[in-house]
Amino acid sequence: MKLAIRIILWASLATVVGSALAVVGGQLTLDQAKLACLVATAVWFAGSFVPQKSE
Amino acid sequence: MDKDFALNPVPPEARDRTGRFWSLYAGEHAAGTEFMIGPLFIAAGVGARDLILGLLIGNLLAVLMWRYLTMPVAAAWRLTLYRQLELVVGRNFVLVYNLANALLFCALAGSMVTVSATAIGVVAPITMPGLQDLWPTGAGWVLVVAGIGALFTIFAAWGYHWVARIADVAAPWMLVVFLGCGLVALPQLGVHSPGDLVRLAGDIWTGGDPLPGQTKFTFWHVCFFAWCCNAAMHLGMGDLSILRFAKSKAAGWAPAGGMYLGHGMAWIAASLLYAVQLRADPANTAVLPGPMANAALGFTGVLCVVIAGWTTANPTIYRAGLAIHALKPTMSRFHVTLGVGAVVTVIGMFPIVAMRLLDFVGLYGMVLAPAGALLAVDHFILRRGAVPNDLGRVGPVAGWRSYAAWIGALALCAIPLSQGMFASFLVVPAWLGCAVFFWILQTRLAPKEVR
Repeated sequence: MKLAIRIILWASLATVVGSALAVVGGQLTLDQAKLACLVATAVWFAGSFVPQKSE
Repeated sequence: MDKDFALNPVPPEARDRTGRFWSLYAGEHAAGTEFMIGPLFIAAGVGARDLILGLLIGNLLAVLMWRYLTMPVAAAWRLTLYRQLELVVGRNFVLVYNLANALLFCALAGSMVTVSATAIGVVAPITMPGLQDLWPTGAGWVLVVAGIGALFTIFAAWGYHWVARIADVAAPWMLVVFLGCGLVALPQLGVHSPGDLVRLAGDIWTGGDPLPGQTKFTFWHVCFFAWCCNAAMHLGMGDLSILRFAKSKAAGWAPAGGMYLGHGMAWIAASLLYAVQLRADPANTAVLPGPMANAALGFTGVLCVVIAGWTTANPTIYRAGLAIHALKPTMSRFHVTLGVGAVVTVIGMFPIVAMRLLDFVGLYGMVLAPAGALLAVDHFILRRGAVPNDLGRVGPVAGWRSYAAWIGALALCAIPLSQGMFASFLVVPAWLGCAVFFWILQTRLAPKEVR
């Protein structure tokens, strides 16, 4: 469970960087990247507090 | 019971592995201030080569200070700065140092309230401050700052432990958002590949005239700023409180994570946001992190500005409260922190500290760093690295000689400062001056048992 959460957390951070890089490369528009970053942010904060609840 | 080891050395069983210090420093140096400092580099007319070389060398010098000045003292004594100052130079000096520290902390926290208020300005119709604004810009601005300041103060007064938890969680995310902000700014500046960045760097960091009211930055300004912006922590030995928990002296290299991510990547990313703003409208010179981050990453960027400002201001208000509380321990810490928060909020209404942050940070280092010179002379020269086994045998305190050295060094630096010299240039001279004065006074004028 902890490993799964950790993978999701890393994936959410990678999403922020990846979507920003996609804007540089022209694969995503700025608005699409903003939306991806927002979702990734929500996942990051939600996932970060899950281990604390189980402690 | 001294469970935080506030008065006693940290025992071996309470010491931590080096890896923890890397993450701690990386998080601590991705703060709200970075959103102001990056843009102010562009406002100061810095050139691309000066910026990159200045950051590389200045940050390296800062890391070397942590590793070879602060870390050896921390590993030898395992005490907080305050406790070691108390033992070596005397309790009264610590009280004066605390007062200076608290005043500077209030101004720093005030600038973070200003930064966070700019994020509210994205959604609220208020007049935002410009680069040259020194006074509050209107009733709306005052109300927003008052609201944010009150919120920060209440959290700090109630104990900031869960804010510290949010800061821990947010730190890696903030670093990534800083990076994301910088990356999405690149296409708007005409950069689509690493080759473009090298070619167009001179168009982004032009090296031209500074904007009105800002000091012109050269390589030396960037280098000394990067070296000395945390001088209170390395030259001034404020981080004895952290590094004394390190198992190995290798933890002294850990600040490199904070320097090259927070004070390298984050500053460059923040300056790119400002470059985009200036390119869109050269007349819009206001350094407003909220709108800049909103333009880059939308709500994620705004949230990053708020959290960065909040997680920097909160412990700063808390520490300032503790510093004032130490002056009068009979007062309630809760009420002291409320009072400190009120001062911070009023300072936050005046954009001067935030807009002149580059000068303020240098001043902060110049005033506080010499305290570390006293400990460095005592440890490396007078004691030759030998630490007494029993803290009761440290010896008589230096007393007035430490005040004389500190004030003498500051007085010498006050002359060039009053003539307009960049404050970061004076941090190292202030430190060296204090060290030399203290060494002379201790070896010539101190009673025999002190020498």
